[in-house]
Amino acid sequence: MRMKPGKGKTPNVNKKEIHWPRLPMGLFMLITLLFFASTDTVFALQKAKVNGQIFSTTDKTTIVGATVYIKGTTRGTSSDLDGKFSIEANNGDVMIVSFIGFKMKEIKIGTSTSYVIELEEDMAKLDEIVVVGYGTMKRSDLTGAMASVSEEEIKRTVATSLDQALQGRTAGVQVTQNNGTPGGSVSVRIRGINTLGSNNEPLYVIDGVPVEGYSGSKSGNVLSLINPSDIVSMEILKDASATAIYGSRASNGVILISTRQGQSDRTRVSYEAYYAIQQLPTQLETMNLQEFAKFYNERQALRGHALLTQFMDPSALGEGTDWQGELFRNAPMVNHQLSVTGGNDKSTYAFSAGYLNQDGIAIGSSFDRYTMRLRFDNQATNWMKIGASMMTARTKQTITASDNNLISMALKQTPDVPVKNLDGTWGGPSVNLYSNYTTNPIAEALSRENYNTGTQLITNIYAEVTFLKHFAFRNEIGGTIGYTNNYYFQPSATYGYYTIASNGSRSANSSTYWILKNYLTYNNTFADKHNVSVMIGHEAQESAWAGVSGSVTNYLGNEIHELPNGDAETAKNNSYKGSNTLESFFGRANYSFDEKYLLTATLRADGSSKFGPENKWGYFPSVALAWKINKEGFMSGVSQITNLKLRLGYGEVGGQNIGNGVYLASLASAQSGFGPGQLPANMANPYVKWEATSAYNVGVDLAMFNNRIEFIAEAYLKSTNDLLLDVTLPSYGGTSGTGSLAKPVVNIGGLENKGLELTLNTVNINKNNFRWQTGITFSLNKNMITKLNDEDASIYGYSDNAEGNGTILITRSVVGQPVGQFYGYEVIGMFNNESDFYQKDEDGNILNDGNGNPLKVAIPDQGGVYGIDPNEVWVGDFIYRDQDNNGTIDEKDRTFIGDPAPKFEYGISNAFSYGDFELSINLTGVYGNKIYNMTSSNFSNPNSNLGMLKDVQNYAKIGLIDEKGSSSDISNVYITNPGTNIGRISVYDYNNTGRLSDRFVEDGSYLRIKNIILGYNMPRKVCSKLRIDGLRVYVNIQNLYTFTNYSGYDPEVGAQRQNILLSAIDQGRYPTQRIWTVGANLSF
Amino acid sequence: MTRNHIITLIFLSLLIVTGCSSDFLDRAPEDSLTVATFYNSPENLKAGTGPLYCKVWFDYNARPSYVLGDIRAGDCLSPWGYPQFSNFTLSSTDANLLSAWQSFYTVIAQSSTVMKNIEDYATGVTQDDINLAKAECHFMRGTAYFYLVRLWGAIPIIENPSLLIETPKVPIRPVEDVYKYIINELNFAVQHLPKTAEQGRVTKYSAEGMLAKVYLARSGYGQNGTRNQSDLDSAKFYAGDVCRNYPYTLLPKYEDLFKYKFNNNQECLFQLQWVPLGSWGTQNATLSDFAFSTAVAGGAAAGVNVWSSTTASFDMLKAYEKGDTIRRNATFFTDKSYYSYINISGGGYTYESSKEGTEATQAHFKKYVPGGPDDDNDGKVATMNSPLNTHMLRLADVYMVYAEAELGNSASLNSGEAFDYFNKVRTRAGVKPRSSITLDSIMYERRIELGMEAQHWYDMVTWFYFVPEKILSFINNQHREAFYAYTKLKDGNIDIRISSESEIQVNNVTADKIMFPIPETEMIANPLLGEEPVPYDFSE
Repeated sequence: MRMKPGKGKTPNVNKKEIHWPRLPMGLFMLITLLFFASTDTVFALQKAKVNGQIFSTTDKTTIVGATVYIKGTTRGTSSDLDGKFSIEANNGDVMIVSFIGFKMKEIKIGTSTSYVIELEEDMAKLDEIVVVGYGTMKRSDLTGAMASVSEEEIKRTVATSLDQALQGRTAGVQVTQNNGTPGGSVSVRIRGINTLGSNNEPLYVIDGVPVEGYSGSKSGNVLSLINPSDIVSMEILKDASATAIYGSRASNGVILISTRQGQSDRTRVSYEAYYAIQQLPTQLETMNLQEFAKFYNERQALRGHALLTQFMDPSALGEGTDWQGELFRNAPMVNHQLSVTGGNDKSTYAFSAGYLNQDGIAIGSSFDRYTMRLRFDNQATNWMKIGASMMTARTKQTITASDNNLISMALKQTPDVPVKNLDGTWGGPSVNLYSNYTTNPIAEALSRENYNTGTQLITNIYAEVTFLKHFAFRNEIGGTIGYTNNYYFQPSATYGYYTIASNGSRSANSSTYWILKNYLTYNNTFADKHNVSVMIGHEAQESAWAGVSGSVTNYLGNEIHELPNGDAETAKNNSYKGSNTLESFFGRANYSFDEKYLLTATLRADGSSKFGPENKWGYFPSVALAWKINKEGFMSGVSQITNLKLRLGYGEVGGQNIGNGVYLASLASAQSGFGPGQLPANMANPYVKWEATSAYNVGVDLAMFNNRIEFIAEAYLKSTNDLLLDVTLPSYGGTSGTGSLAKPVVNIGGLENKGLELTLNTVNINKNNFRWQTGITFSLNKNMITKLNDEDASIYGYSDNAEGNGTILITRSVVGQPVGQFYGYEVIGMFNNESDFYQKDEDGNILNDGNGNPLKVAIPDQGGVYGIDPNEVWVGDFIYRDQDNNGTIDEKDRTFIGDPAPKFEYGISNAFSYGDFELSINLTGVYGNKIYNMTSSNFSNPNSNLGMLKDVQNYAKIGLIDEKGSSSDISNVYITNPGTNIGRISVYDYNNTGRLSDRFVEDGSYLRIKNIILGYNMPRKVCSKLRIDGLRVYVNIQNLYTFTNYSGYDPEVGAQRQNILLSAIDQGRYPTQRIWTVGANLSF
Repeated sequence: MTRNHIITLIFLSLLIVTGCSSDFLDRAPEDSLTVATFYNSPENLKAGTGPLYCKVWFDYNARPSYVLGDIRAGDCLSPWGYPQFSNFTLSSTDANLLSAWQSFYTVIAQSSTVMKNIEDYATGVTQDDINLAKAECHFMRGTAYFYLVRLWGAIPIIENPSLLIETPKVPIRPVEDVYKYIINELNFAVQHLPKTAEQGRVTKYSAEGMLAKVYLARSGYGQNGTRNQSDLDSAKFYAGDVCRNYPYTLLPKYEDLFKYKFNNNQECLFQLQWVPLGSWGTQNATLSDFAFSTAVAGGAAAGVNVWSSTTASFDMLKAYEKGDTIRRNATFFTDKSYYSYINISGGGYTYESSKEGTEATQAHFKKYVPGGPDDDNDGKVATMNSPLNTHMLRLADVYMVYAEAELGNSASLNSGEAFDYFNKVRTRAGVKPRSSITLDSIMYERRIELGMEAQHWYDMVTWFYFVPEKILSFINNQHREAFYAYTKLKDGNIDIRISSESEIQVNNVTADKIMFPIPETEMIANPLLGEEPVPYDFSE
């Protein structure tokens, strides 16, 4: 490392609040530390020594840890704390000095035995070796669209899972937290929407082992099992020419993740820790008790119902319960990570252990994670290298708050209900007034057990044999094993009116996966100019899963939560199992001429068990070209340009994200009063086949002024055909609701994405110990449906309403339009007085039908008859646009009222360093996206019985023009507070005020101060006195502030169940927290 | 290098042998059966049709049943829950409407699929076995369409749901064609169902009873003031056969019909067969919507969470004839009524709706409230979990259908077999037999006898077919929103008055509000549903 990592104990930051690891873990760490501290790696140095010291050309500081070796030998060392080294060398040897981020240098050894070596910083990292599918390449030889996230960048944020670390880093990668709950799921979209099916998540390949990023549940996230600190780089393969080598699973892009390897010099130990406080950035404003009582009294009076005695005198009441205040808290988070790396010239190893404990900002949520990782690489013989890696994690995620919609419950429970009664029992609504089920969210959060535990093992072994000079053969066997258990127990309880019998459930799910790969690589250069590299391979993989669950009610007491303690009569159980397989053949050829012209071609064939006999195999080719213009003779005079490369690529990739056996008609067990039975399970589609995406990419890489300016531009066009979708048929197909057939999976049409991505990295200032770097990313993507099975077909998105109001048709996707637009009514105003019921000309004169009767505006037609009447449509109701001009408002008047996809997204990062201090500020933003605020639609309806946002007080108030006149005479009523966004109070909501309309569609644009980090690196001299490599301390603020006009908790709203048809629907999602962190990294 | 070469060869051969065996890519479902192998014994055919009595009806039964069938009829009201049904301000986005629609079509799709599976794949069974299983499917499908046509009128007929993958948009069919389709379905059932069957399964008599009801309903469709005589004759034929030849009679005690131990009793021609305490979707979830207090569900200690606030309407309580208290007490809790079989360990349960010296103001649901787990229910009572089967067709209903068909277009019916069967219903209820039966007396009897069994609204629709003005005036003369007060008299009858008519009156209900609007999501997905019906091709 360049002098950065630090030393010493973690500073005593707020010592009382630090949650040090529990004893066994701490003890373990201590022992490990002692063990490694006592082993000094010894290298057998030879006698004829050459000494040297290595500096950076840029700021003349010494470089620590640079690799020095003698070409053609295995003799090597690395520079020490002062940048010094010594190595045995003969006159005439070539000494190679390299260090990450710097250009490699070759020095011919002469008679001198002492060298001062300056390494030139390589800002574009062009010669860096990057991981590509089934191999590695020099970055400068890439032909496809790839982006990298480095370890440094990951460290500049406090990410609890690796997908969070991707956020705002690279153009074309959209990361959205679906749910802020600790350990919750994240949606990662690479270059827009690629399929209408439920999975748009990229394929993650961790050290060669593919891991699905998909998780359908609202809280679970497989990737949260992986400790971001173990990652040294993430390569994001964006275009099809780069991903085609992954064939059938590549249509959503591929993210290759590499974990830390050991290095062949001395042992290094590093310890990292941070402590953070998380808080709720904003609270929604709800009525307090006085306001609620006043409002309620008005409402009862307007509806002709009796006032409730307890609300008679609002002024005598207190504030009541602030349910959000009770539910949310400032929550701590603590993380420890210890890693040891080392090795010798034959073997290297890396070991790490980590612990994370995150309490959620909502009570009833938390996340704990223990991770351990081991990696071992060995040059077994001069022709064979072997290695193994293993990552394991154990997590515990408390999901009481998110699984039971407690945040929604906190918004809808009324302020007159106490958290606890005077006698210490839990409060609850005293009467069953509304036929609604509301409970005490605090009681549930604190007394209900609901957590998942997960154990995951990812492992891989390989052997690589080089033979016949140019050939290398690699064999890899990898696998994952995962276990997830859920523990649920609800003690018997009484909250006011409601009573709940104790009930509990347990489930255990396991999954195993193995992959076997073999590939052969040939690499040769002919006539110095023609470099050829060819790879061919075969791969087979199998996923299998199984699970059991059981539940029971009426426990004997609330103490023991295991199933045998419940009433056996009520016991239920379930189990499932399944598997799928994939077999593949693939190959790649790279050809480069004179390092100027590069060609990459790949082909992959995949066979999948998910498809029927005729459609099992899919073929996925790609080709890409690159031209390094700066290597041309005519550019030789242009010294400012250090790199100029033009890239062109085309590729075809596939999608197969469907369930197993959808091409077969199967049966599902279904009990009936007669005993066990079987019901048809699905509507089979024997013709289902691969989804195919073909994509073009053009890119330009430009680096200037010794790489101080780096600019990358990419444009792409992707067309997906034979889109796979679980088609929601009209309900008369019998595929909706209990006991129905599962929806058929159909290849339904085509989709197109086109976009532009720009990346600009600059070093603005770099002198006098001060350095200022800026990185800007900009991405723009437009998606459009190009084809559906029949030309006027539509695809609808049906959202579950968390408030139990059934299923709501909320989005519609049609040919020629983007995917998943909100589809509802357009509100053009409110009926404020009689004249609003009549059509007017431009001057405001009422139009008539020629017989002197005024022409009415369209009002809802729900059951046949409609009229201007206090019980039907009245002042204080909303006016909807009559889109089809047929004089009534009905479902034909629905229209597109908002696109959840942003027009563009951007990220701006600035990093400053001065001496030993560094500061970096990251901003991320999206622009032009729309959010459907279902929280507002659920909780700002004055006619709803529960859940009252403060705005509700401003409901449309009806006044009488003539105080003595009739209140049911339309000419005598008017709205006294015109311009309000809340409808009137009425018994019958004939106008259906809460209907899906643009009233609840809000602009979701935001600019977020995502991350500010201030770090201090202990000066090298102090470090060496303390006999440590480095110590870095930092403070970090995440999500400090978000500039937005959105009125909900947070404009970052993901997709329900990661379903693209249900994007940006805010149901009171678990808000993203603001996080204040202090941390330290120590290495020695 | 020799060794190197050997190793190389080993690895290369690995590459070749890992080319997988040919069945590596074949994965049949491992935790479920496929259709091709299951229907291979009479027992399995039964296991294939059994769930058609249960889970597929769940979404309808759980809530829309009483909301559409009883609240809509004005027999009860839920002012906080579902006022739109009692006051005719329903919108096409209503959740109950959609649930009912979905559920009936789920019954249809599943019955069709089972039928097709049996046709295509049954092995090792006789043609009779096949016909029997198919007859059950036809019975279910016909019955579901019968519910649909009475709620929505012209609707799509889906014979083979898998064709919808290619053509999801289908037209609606004229009411006449839907009835014809239903009759075809039930005719198949009549021909192939046995006279006796495993307890709970439908028989020839179930199908005949249902078919009689269908004919009777159709007899008024498109008529004005009278009914079609040939349909009446068919109704008489099938109802009469049930009355005469079904080997059982009415259950002696009316209130036993709604007790757990009397599930599938002699009077039941078709009951939904729930699994008490069964997994979600297989249980009768209505308990929590029907029971108003834990006091009638085992007490707080039993932990049965219930939330009903639905009460008898003023009109319904007022409608009971003097002395018709057996059926009233079995249908609604009224002040001071006593139930020995609820809260048995506490000596029974007495409903109290009034404080000392005041009038009572409420009468909650009673029917389908069988007490708590420790009453005579074998512990099978829990939150959203009733041990009771749901009555869909019982003998008393067919007795009344017979009489109504016999009455036909006459003003009154004064004697005869059907007349006698009708009076058996009254006698069992402890009220005096009628000396003369008119349409009004049939309307009364069906409403009271089948009260809160989700039948009345469907009956009203079929009467509306031929006497629309009579039904509209019946509705418009109701006091659907009225709050009331009553006192229980010594003889068990009640004296009731309106305490405050809600300021907001029910709209004048007009003919266009009788049929429900098709759910909005369906109309959007298929605009053809809003267009003119297209005749159904019965040769398909």
